[in-house]
Amino acid sequence: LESDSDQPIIIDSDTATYDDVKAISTYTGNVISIQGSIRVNSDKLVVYFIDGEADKLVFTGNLAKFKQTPHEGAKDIVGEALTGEHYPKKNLLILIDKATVWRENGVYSSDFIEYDLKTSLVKAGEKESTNKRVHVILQPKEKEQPPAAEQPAKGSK
Amino acid sequence: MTRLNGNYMHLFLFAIAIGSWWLVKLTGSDEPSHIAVPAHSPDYFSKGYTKWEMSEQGRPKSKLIADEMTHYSDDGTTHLTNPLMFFYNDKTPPWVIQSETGILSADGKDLLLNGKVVVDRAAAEGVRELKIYSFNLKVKPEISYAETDEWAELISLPNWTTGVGMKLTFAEPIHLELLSNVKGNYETKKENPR
Repeated sequence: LESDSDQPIIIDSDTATYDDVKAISTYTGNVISIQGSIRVNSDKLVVYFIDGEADKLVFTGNLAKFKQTPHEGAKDIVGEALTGEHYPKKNLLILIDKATVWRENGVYSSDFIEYDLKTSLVKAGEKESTNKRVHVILQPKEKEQPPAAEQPAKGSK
Repeated sequence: MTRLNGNYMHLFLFAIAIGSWWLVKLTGSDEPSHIAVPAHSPDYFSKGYTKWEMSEQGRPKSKLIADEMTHYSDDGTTHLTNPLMFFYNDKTPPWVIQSETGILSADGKDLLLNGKVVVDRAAAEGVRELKIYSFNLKVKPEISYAETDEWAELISLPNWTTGVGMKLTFAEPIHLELLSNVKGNYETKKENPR
């Protein structure tokens, strides 16, 4: 949602450690992190702080999953990957290794997917390397049913 | 009054001595006063207590302040009222730990802080202010370590994290662990759109 980036990030997990000097918090065990409509389920989440603010969140899981509601009433955008990096201030989510995003009728698979949390734009693969191949499936939109009036009456020839 | 000659005088004095000995026996006040001392009673105490501990380099290592300190001879424990402890580090501000009451073990290795406990570390260059609220904290001053099985809240504004059970090492490298039911809350501000 538009307001997602203004929401606090709330994290639930089994355990957590805080490293004061490195300014890193590590959450492990059934980790759920929520920011507005963005929800990430993972096994481990590492939060990197800059000046007390969560600058980067790196989640890992087999597979870690995320979902977001792009706008009111829209179908959720769902994704998964072995590793993900969430940059709250840049509204950016990067999925790495076995990454897949399901968006409307498209399925995007690659080892590297950038997903813009603001515009819901999906960028798969990397220009520089050829090994991040991209696999896209775009389902044809379901044919719109003609309104009932135009449909031929049943049984009539 | 007839005068007693020599012999009768000795006899008279002897009779008085026997009589007074008998009276003392009668009143039973001759035994040493064995007042029943309660088992767990203090052998020394202090009000407005301050204790400094220095490191080998002569720098402050820890400081303990308490409204009242009472030492008990039977188990060697030291009971503290409103203890306030400072644990100094070279690079970062001291950790300040305070609670309602505290009990220091005989060997000084274990300090049990009862009731509500507040741990505070001021901000400084490279580190943010940190405040921890918890209960019944077991502190091992010698190794700068503390732990509790109870609820703990870690506040480093604007963020906070809670959990049940905590382990804290308050000497470099400072490390804190929350053991279960962890919930973190981080405020975010948008910066530069990509």
